[in-house]
Amino acid sequence: MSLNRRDLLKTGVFAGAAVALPAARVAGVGAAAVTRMPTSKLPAPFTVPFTQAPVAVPYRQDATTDYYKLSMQAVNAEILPGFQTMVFGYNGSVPGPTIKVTQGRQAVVRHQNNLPAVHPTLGYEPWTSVHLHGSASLPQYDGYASDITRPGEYKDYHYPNFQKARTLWYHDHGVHHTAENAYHGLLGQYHMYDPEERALPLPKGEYDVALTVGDAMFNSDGSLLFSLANQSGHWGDVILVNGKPWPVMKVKRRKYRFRLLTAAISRSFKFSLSNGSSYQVIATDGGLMPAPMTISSHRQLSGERYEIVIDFAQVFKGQAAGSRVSLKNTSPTNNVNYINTDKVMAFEVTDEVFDTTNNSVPPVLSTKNDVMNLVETQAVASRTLRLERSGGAWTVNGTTWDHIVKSGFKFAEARPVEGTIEKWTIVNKSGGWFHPLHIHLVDFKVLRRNGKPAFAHEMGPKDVVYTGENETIELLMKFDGCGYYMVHCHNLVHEDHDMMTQFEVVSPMHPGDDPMTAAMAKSMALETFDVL
Amino acid sequence: MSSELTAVAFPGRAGNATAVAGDSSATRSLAVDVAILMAVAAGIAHLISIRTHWNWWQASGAFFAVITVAQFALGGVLFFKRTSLNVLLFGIWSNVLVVAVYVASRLHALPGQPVTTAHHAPRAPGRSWLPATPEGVGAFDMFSLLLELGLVVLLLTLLPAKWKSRTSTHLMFTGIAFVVFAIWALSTNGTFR
Ligand SMILES: [Cu+2]
Repeated sequence: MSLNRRDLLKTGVFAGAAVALPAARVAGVGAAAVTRMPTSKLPAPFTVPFTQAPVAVPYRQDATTDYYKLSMQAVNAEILPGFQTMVFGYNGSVPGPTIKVTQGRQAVVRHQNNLPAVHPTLGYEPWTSVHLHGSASLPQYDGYASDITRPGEYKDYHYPNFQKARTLWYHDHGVHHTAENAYHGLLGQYHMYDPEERALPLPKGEYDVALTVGDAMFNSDGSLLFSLANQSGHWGDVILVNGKPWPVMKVKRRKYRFRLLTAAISRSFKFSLSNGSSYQVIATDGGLMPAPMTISSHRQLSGERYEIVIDFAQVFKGQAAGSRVSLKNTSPTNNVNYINTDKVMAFEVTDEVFDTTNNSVPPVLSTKNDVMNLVETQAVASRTLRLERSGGAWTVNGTTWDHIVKSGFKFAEARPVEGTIEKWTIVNKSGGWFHPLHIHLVDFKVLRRNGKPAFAHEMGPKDVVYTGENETIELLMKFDGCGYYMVHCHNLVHEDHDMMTQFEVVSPMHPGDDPMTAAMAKSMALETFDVL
Repeated sequence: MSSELTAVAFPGRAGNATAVAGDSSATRSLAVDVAILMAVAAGIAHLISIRTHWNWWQASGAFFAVITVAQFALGGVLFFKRTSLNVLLFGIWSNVLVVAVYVASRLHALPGQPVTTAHHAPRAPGRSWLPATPEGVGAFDMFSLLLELGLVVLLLTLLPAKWKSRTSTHLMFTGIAFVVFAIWALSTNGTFR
């Protein structure tokens, strides 16, 4: 009852193939390697000039509202020098045009889906649903995943803009295809200003700069390579800033304010400056922090926004014009890294003259923030959301979006009462992956992470929280609004496979609007007075 | 081969099978005891998974039910000291079949596998929204796979020398076939279009 060496070897071929082949596929070996653009054909980091997205212009304005029209369309763009890449852009731009609004003026954005009926290589129908991330929009304008707009259709989204100044972003949220759609470029920044923030001497105008960071992988013909072979996510070997690979930006010897948005499909980053200089965080997802925090690195994942101020007078002190410092990524764990994914972009100093006003960061930024002034004892309920993989699916408390659909969109993980404050605890018991947890509608305050205080850079109003490996995070939030809202993982591969659930804010006074049907009547009504 | 399998399906009729190790001895060998435990464990693992598979794709649920019955049957036959050549070969090749379906399902969508239609959207004729994709690899299915591979190896050790050599050669070719299949699956990205 034993095997001789020869038989053992032969049996080993069988057993080895049976174990290794499925494992290799999961590790993404092969699929990406066959057609992937070789590293030698990619541009060297810090050779492509930095650019910013255009600013959106309203096509109509009235006493209360700015009206915009954005057309989602497939266009060819030169992302890698010498190659054409088909992307999906809002008005053909990747990232989409930056929308700039002032608190108190509403916005209506007509999002037209002019995408092809079928994606030419991925073979899916690119339906869309646009989420304005950071806005307490009504349920029917919140980009509810199943409220899709198909190619050839449009939807008018109404944005209230009553919240405090902040960096928001709009991006696709269409059920099952958010990852592909956003990967192809359907995302853009949305900046809201208010009098409190405008009165501060923070960098403004050309010194207030949007940085949208993501990653991508390309086929050798220049097209975007998208693979779901690794169910943990999709990782690129090229870091893109505002749609450009590892760009280099010319800066003057003064302070700059960067609206840093990480919008990768799955990748998380740990940012720092290559010469070790510190920088200040002044705002988080929901706007200004109570006070600036000085740090020398921070981690950030999909959907998070941090506004940071870098003082290039200090960073380049004693250095000649033309000197460079780069923004680095010392990757957090459980990312897939490639040769240059540790680099993000470079700053090259010039001796150009500059405007010396609005060149400081005051020690106190905002004392009037409702979220940051919440205290734990005000919470009327405590809830726990477990982020876990079960039965081969990504789930929140064991629930997926499929469950919501089968309930006729009536299942709710929680039913907080309008106007009340609750404490939510987010639990990730796994050491194998991290999750960017996003709660729609609310801003929240991070109370504790694993029983310890939140990181310095998180001490501001937030709507996405880095739920790292084996982390338990306690959040405090107030529910102003009414109706169904999503809560989900912002790793878009997890989100599409089907790591989304919802909560319903209930009011004793009135029912909430239905996210799927309430917009119909209103957008029809808009049609009647919408003189183009 | 098929006539042998038929005979094994009704062990009482397998009287003409060649007697091999363990068949005539009064006590089972340790290897047979371990094989029985592994067959039962593999049966339980598939039993647990029947419902979720049935809900996803009825054919896969039915396949899991058949595997469950077959693994329990194998354990039972081995328990009653039926370790005839036919029983051993049935045990080996039925487990190889399960392993083969597993490997195939992890490298490529299977024919007839449900496509993922988007919620509340109608499916366009002749075109799937999300093509069916290979299944993921998890700890639990890897555990079942290792049980089955262990069973194959254990049962192999119980074969007469001539059959050991012949069967291990066939197993090697099966492994090579897996590699060929994997290369083909790469070219299709694991999906039918
Ligand atoms: Cu996740």
